[in-house]
Amino acid sequence: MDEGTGTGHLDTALRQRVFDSIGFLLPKVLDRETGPVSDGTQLMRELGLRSATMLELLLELEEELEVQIDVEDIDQSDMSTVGQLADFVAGHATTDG
Amino acid sequence: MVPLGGGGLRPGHPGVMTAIEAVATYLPDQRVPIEDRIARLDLKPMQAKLFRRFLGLSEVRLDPDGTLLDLLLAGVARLGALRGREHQVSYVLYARTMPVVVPYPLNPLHELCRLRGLDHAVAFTVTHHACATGLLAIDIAGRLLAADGEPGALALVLTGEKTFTRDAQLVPGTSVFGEGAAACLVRADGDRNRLLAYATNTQGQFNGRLEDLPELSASYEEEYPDLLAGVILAAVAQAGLTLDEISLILPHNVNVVSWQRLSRRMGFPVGRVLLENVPVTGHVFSADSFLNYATAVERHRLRPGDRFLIAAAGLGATFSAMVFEH
Repeated sequence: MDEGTGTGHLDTALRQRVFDSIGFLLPKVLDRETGPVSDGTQLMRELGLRSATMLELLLELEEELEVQIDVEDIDQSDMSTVGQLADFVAGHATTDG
Repeated sequence: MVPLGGGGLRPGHPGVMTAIEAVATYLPDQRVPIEDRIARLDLKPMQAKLFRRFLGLSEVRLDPDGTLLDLLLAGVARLGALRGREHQVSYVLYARTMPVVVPYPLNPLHELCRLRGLDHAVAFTVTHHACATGLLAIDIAGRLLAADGEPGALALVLTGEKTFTRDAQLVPGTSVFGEGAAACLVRADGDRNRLLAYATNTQGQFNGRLEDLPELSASYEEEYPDLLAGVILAAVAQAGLTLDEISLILPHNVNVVSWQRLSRRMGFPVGRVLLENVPVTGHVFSADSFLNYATAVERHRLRPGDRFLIAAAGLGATFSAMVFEH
């Protein structure tokens, strides 16, 4: 079953789960405490994520949420803030199996 | 501004008609899954998943028992167009990503020349454009031959390196190096794969081991797409073409995702970037362009008259692109 959309419609429940998981997983990926995050928290400029750690975060999100994220279309603009990343993941996730 | 390759005679100059006459490539038989490379370097298994799943790197080829000389010789041995014409070779250029590959006084290049009847040629190593050095070597070869003006003279450009240290095995979170070699015959008066343009841009502020320098690494990542797109577009413009007239881009095999993003950014169809080798060879140092050229020819991805582009980025950092007419 498709959990993501890719058609403009965004699953708000999934988006919330993605947002919560990002906050939970960031310290693991960065190997340090990050404190609370908001939609506007800048992943690269503020938290120091690099493209490699960003991809690691996406993998962790896949495991945590038991989804597959289609990253082919991901662009820099999808990774600037926590909110943008949550939107992208919620829009490009499909359930495993 | 994008400075163009070197001073003096350049592609497009009336005296320079650099052309690639023949390319031969070699890949060792042993296929090593990315997971084995990651485990050997004591990295988290998550890294292997990241490379395979997101970066499109699955395996590399290695010859653990072979020397660098063996690797380069295997490339030259496959270059049928060289056989019987060794005496026409004026220059042998070894284009290298890594500045140091063997302890002094070993010199596999000179040993190769001795073994292949090329010891009359002027042989030297070209380096410091990292993984973009192959393009620099083609440019230098063509300009040297043009300056000599000797009819029928050839230059032999060699590429291929051993994955002998950690830094020669992996760029963390970005790429995995594999072994392989290429041998390429360049001439100054041919019409096969005629060089139309060369753009190169060295940004020395990125010199340093990025793994140890997070701020430098961040700014390199940020500027990389524009710098690479910059030389690609400069080379295309210098050739008097537009990007949609380029049939195929032969990339450096750093990973799949960065080329997908760059293609989108430039509005170039990713299907016209030859990425098929990335999963099966990894990043074969400066040999990627030649390996990808050989694949393009093998798979009939280039027709006579097609304009194709070779592009590469080298850590340090140099961004280069060349346009050819097939």
